[in-house]
Amino acid sequence: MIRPALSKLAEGTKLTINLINDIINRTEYAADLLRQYKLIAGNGMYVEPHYDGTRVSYLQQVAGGASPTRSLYTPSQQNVIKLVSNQLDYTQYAGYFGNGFVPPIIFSRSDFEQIYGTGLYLAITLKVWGINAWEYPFAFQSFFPFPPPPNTDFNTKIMSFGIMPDQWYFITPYSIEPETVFPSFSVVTLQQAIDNGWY
Amino acid sequence: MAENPPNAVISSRSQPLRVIRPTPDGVAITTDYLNTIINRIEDLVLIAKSQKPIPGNNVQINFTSQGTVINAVTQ
Repeated sequence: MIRPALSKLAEGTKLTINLINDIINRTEYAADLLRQYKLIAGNGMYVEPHYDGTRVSYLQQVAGGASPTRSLYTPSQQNVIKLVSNQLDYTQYAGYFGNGFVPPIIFSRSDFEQIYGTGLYLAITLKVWGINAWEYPFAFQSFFPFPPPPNTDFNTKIMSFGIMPDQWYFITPYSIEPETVFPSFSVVTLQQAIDNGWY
Repeated sequence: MAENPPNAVISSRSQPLRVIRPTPDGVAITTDYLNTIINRIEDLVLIAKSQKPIPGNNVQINFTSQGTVINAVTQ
């Protein structure tokens, strides 16, 4: 509901309940605007929230050719990926917005370095089931350690790849049940990344 | 390569609000201080309105109560 702008008070104005309520209503109006204008990634878009702004990117080729096509690897290679670690279904680790917010698990590079050594890379994938799940693979809100590689062929289901950051976590939105579309990640070495055509 | 236009600067009229320190005898609030609060709120409204997403090339937006969904216009 639109609330009228507050007028400047004249000297000697009484501090009334109505005045306080006008101030409260105007403040809540601003808060509603900020809530409404929060960006949510729809089809083909990637939204990365930061404290000092929101990065918005295309995820796929769009009308006008904003993203030229260049596949990082072919789907056939996906079947021969030799991973250092097994893919981890982190559904139970991901924070999501549903009936309530579940704080996400924060993964740390040091934990994986203790197991696999240094120089690790991270490949984030999507596991999906359900018809038409790929119609809206990026409808869920996510916070990945790095943006998807440019021009990624998303039919390969690799969403993000890069040097393993110090920490990372994932958030899925209220709109997509994590049981329907949920990401996983794999830990690979640089040589494996090269072999897979990711680097 | 195309570059983004420079961001429009919203001039802020207000300063951060000072916290009122309580005293045993209570606190008198002046009209000037209330106007400072009002100015701050009006700036907040101005900033909120300025952040309304506007679709650019090849982007569609849908306003919802939970936020604004942005979609790419695919080929």
